[in-house]
Amino acid sequence: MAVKQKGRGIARRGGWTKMVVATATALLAVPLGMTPAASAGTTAPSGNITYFWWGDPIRNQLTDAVINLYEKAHPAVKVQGEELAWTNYWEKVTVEAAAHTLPCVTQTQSRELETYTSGKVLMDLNSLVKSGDINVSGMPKAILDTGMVNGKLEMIPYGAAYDALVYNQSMVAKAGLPQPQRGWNYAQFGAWLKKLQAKLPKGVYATNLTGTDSDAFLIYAQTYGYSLFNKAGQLGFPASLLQNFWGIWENYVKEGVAAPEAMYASEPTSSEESYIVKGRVAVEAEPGNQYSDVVSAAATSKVGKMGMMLYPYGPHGLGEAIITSGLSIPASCNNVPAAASFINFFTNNAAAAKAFASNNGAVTDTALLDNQINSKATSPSVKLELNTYKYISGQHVPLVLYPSGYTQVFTDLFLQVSEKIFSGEESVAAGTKSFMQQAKVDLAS
Amino acid sequence: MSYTSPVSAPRLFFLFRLKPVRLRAFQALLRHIVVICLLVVILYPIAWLFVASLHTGESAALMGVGFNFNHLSLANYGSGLTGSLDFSRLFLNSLLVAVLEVIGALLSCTMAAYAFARLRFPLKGPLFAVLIGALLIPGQVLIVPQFILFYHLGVVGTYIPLVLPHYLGIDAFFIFLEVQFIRTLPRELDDAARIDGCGHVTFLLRVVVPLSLPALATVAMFMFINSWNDLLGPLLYLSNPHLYTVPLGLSEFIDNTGQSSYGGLYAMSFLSLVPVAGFFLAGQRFLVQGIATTGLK
Repeated sequence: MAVKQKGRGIARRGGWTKMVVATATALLAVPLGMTPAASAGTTAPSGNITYFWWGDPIRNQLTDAVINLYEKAHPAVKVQGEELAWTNYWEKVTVEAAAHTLPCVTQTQSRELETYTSGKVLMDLNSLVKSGDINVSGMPKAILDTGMVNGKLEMIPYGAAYDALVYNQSMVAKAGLPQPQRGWNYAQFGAWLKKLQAKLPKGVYATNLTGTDSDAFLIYAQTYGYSLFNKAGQLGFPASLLQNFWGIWENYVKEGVAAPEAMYASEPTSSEESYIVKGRVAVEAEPGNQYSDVVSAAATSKVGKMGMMLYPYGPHGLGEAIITSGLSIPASCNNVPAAASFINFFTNNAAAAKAFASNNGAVTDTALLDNQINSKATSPSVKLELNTYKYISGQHVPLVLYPSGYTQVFTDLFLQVSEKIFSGEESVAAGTKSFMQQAKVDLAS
Repeated sequence: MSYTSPVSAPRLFFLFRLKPVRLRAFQALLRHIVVICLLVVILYPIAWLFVASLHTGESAALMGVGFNFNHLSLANYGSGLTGSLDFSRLFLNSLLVAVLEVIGALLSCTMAAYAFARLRFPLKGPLFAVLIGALLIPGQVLIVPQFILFYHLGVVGTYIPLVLPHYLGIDAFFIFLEVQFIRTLPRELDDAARIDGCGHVTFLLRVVVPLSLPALATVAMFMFINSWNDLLGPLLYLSNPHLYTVPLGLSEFIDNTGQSSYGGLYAMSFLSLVPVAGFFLAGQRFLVQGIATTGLK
């Protein structure tokens, strides 16, 4: 807000010349780090900050509740909330990051962090942790590390998510098959899918097509002991692994076990409209923290009771990865003490955690997580989400090093090539070759 | 290669035996059937949207491509217009922004177009080429520099970044459209007005503007529709939900990472079509005339 007043004053007093000079100076100053940022230290938080997050109307209400709690505890600070839906959020963040005008507390995600590192957009929060302004002692180190980029702590994780397979328990029971078991490998999973498909009505598939999902491949690679990316930000797996993965899913499609590519491509993105909620598939990949949304939507559509399982295991066991959402302070923030105080409150305060109810992934503080798991107020579906996260985090899953532009470079390319493969435009071998070549070029640039 | 018609030839001959009056009636009937069929195809998505908007909760998302007339209610309209997003205010915001942008575009484009079409000044040709060249610049290239400029002017979070550029002649296409129209006006009018003592301002206001109404109406309509449907501008520059415009409000109904509200989305989307359709119907005659007379297709 201070910047706004300053700009208006210049325009009023000095006319265009002063304004142009001031604008040019400001444009030059921001990238050089000449910002009014102050270190938190022992300064009592005061003034105004803006908190910017992504979310649906429910999450917005929960976040507003946390903001109200914070303002009651810190009357000298006024927090302006600003929210957008997921897609809009990243469009706006990209522009504001380029302009170095991000709000003082900006929600980020471990997969996107590296993108904002090269421009020195985000502040290294290590100093605030060392000074005690932000307490991370209750957070597992592996979770905290998801907010680190090249040794700099750029995000304090507050919600941890993972990928899972949601399945229709009623369909499975009706088919007379056992419910899927944690620890199955791909061969066991595939055999189960084929038996399930044989009992399903025409037009219903045992599983949706998941071979197009780069997150599913990430998990598959980790079950074989590979990382998606190495420390240099290049591909960390051999082409043969990707060929095997796409080969498995191509077989599922050819055998009629997985939904065809055309059906997959026309599926809406939201959980409420997903094929599992509409009863068109029995198994569907969903983010683990959206399981309760699927359960709720499936109750309305009356397609059956939903269960959740982890992806099949491999020679190296579990391949799951933890994806965290967290809070960052931009380097251009002019009220660091208040921003640090808000982040500390959001990630550590028991009342705040209770109000937010792990709406964007499991709460990362271990004690707060246990409170929610043991609380009677937590619904069974959310308890399953939290317990599954606790199990995964207890398995010491490896940290994924997402390179800059991960979504644009890797995820989109993966989807493009896999759609060509599953629509029959390209063979698995040719698709794998073209993907590896293009990904190497894109990641290098 | 032989071909056997599935319809016996004598049956088709009845058309030739019809009297001219009956033949014309038959042709009109056929024409109407075809038009009605096309109308059904065109109106189907709108009808579907309306019926879906009458479903509450997740049943709106689950309606599929057909129609489901069970458990219809107007609840989505009520909750959308008075709920947390308060679309009644969003409609007023959109209307305000659209009207201000239309006024800005009409003022700046008309003056610029008059200058290019009627005045003689140094570098007129190259400047017009620059104007046409501006049409080739992708809007995405300008997003970040414009944002930085408006941020440091202290006007982010207001309607000024959305409205102000239209008062500065940013709409090169509309200037081009008006230049084309004004060039078609007879030069004799300039001479007659000058003999009567008209300066450029009087000639512009009393002669060019009244004669350019079709072109101005075309600019106004395109500008209104562009403004009404604009998502990116409000997304970047508005952060206070009280200032949101309709497209920004609609986009808030859907979130891939949480629960979406399809019923509300459908209801407010249906309502958002009404002003555009009304504006188009009211000015349809001018729009067609404007496009025809400026040679645009």
